[in-house]
Amino acid sequence: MHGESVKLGAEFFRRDVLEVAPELVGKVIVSRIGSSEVRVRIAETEAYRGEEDTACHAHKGRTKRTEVLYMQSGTVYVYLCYGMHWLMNIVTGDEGSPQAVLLRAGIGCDGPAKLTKALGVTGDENRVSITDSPKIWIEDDGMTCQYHTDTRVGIGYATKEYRDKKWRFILDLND
Amino acid sequence: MKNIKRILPILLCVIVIIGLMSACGDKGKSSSKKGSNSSAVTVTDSGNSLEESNGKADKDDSKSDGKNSSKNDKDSSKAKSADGKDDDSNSSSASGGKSVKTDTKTTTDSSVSNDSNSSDKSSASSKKSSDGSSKKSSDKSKNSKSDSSKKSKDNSKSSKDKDSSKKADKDSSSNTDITDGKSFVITTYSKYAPITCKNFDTLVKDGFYNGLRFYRVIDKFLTETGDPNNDGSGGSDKTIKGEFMANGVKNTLSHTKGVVSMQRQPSDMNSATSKFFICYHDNCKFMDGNYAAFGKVTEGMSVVESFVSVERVKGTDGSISLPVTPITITKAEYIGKDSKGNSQYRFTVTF
Repeated sequence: MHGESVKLGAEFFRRDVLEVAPELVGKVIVSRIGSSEVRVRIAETEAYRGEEDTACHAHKGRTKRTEVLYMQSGTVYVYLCYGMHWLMNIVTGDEGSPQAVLLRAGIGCDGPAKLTKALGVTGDENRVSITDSPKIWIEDDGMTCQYHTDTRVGIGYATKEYRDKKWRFILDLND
Repeated sequence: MKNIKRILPILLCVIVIIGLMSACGDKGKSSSKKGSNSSAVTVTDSGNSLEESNGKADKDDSKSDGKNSSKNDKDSSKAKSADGKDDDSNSSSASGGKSVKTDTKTTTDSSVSNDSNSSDKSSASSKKSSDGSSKKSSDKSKNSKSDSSKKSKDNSKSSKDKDSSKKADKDSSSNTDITDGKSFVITTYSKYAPITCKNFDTLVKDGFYNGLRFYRVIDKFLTETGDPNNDGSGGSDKTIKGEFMANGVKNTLSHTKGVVSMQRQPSDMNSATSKFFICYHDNCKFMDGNYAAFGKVTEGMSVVESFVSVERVKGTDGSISLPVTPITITKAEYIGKDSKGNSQYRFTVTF
């Protein structure tokens, strides 16, 4: 019961992104996409919160690309950045409200593209459910970590109000 | 020279691993095996070793970093925080030792920091940060002579710790308790969220909160109560308007440590009923503008903080957040107004 890892279920992701994103910091993402199992502790996340958030892909509404953000919480949203980096997000909140957590870094993978590379995540994982997939899931192993917040990265296109939101959650390496 | 370049990423990895090991506390569940899991990318099975895969990833990224200035930006901010933190952790371990029971009565900081931008990262982390559960538990075991288990703070959590904390409370502070329980005081500020404050006042005076539990306790984030189902699924009958900026209501009460705010449904801003949460950390400011903050714990915050010493299992929020030993509100009562006319409520809890 204790000391065991608990796999995060749909209920974890069904909450507001502002509760899910900070809580994901310190959790362990497990991937069996490649030939070996890879486990990475999540070190940094960012919250993207709905159509009103001008930094969120869903800001411009429902399109072919953003459709996935409106899907059930726990759905993985992977997209290509700069034509070469895969970035991985997980949809949160109620179905129909487009929110997602971007996984920005893990311990040993200090960038979103490094993280997906280590995990073997590519566009193939887009729309996979992180709560149902046998290949990728997230565990809570009971470890609690300190984090601090900062503004999100790479959202120069957003309005000042949303550029200034401290919706990035960063694991502290010293307690 | 080439060799050095090759070794450098590996060295960095090792530093990060060491850093992490010292950074992460553990809720007090047995964690000797976690320690080994905690570090870096762990690869099992087929041949490729940990270091190799890390080293490779690092190299790849140093290429792409050049193109991506935002990434550099992030890296440098990270480095800064790691440095700055060294000092912080020193100071906080000095102050962190004051622990749970000493100053319940003295914490009457009725000041509500609404423009608390100044108190961000550095002060936030030095103020509280590292007095996580493990430190507290070690404090407690020092106080109680019975618990001589010095060995490791991790493995002797659960009931033993609970006993010792109870004992410590009785030993050292007669001021904390009224009757059998521990208590804290919530002061509400109607100038920020009048509808929410009125709703809270009514619920307390109706006795709605009596007997309810804190069903969600998450270290360094928040603790939550106010659901008759005691699992986060319920609430009172009446929903109230969400008094926060995203819902068009100006509310400048910032989510800092001790601030009390309303829980609601993720995609319905006007869905708050009776569930409220108390912030454990100044970091909760990211919730500003999306949750209706309306009050603050102005007395007995150490009691609220001591909830994290209770062992927990998976709750309905999907996190390991549900206390095994119920933390029950035996009584919530209106106790009058403070000098500025703000209503105050005493919550007595047992656990």
